[in-house]
Amino acid sequence: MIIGFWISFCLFRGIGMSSVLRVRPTKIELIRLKRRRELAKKVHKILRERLTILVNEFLSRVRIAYRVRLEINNILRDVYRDSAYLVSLYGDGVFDYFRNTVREESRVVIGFENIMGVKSYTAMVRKGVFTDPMIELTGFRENSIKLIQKLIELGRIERSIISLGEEIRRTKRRVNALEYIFIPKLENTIRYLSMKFEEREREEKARLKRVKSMLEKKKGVT
Amino acid sequence: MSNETDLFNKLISVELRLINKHLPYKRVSLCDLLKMDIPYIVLRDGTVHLIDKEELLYLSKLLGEEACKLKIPIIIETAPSIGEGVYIIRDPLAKKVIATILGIDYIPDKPQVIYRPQLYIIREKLRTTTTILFNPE
Repeated sequence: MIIGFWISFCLFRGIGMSSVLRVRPTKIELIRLKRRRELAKKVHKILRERLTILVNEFLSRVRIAYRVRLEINNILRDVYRDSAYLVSLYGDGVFDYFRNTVREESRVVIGFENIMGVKSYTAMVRKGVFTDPMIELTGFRENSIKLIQKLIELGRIERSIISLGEEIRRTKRRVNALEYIFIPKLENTIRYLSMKFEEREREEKARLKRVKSMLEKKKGVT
Repeated sequence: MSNETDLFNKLISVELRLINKHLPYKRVSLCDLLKMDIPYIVLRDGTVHLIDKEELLYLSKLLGEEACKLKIPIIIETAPSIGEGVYIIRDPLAKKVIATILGIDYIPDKPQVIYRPQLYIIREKLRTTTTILFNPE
């Protein structure tokens, strides 16, 4: 019955073989464990803060991606309409002519962006130099450049969403490990060690009392 | 020491070491960045962080003549001693920029304190020119 009570007590308090770290039962170890617990709590706090920020970055980027997609759809409609108009007016050769007016091509610079430790690809468009002899081409070209810029922006945002998602999953796992495994284990070990030391003290006191009473008895006999 | 304790120590030390690796080696002034063909800064983990030129132009427009004194990126610190979801900006010019964007009072003597919803507004507007410092204090 006593064993059954002890097992249920251990389960209730979370004390068990698996929930206590295997350490030497010394006072130094207890102090070390207490320090480690404080550190773990600090790290847990920081990681939780980071996780919250990352989740919000993720959500804000999802919102932006949705907005950019809508913009792309609108621009795409304009570009199609303009190109159909130009082809109907000047024929297929208009695009060759269009290509000839490019003096310096647009460039895309690809690099990295670091969002709170999350490395993600980023890209920027550097607009080229053009000459536009035909007034009808100007609007079409402007819209085309805008479309390319928006497409690259969308790619950048979606890439960062993927990277952020992966990092969120990793950070969440760490936060949960600290919250549900490491910190409770440390606390259980600290509790176990303090209980052990209290027990030792009580035993010591009892032993001293017994020795004292034995000595007194001996004195009484002599 | 058991394997478990080793693992725990490793996890904690790695986390603390890596948590602020996204901060720059050296902050660069806004004017220097504007002069660059492709503006960038080098971070502590060695990555080259590209900065959006539009953001730089927006900041220079906000600050006017003082623009050259602003160091990029603007560092926003977490403040666990004050509370969760509280952030601090210490750089005087950065404080001014943040106060202007958020439409709040600019207090020159004290560090600017902002809260989580305000941080999201800032991050949305200044995506590449702001960074967050995780203070383990």
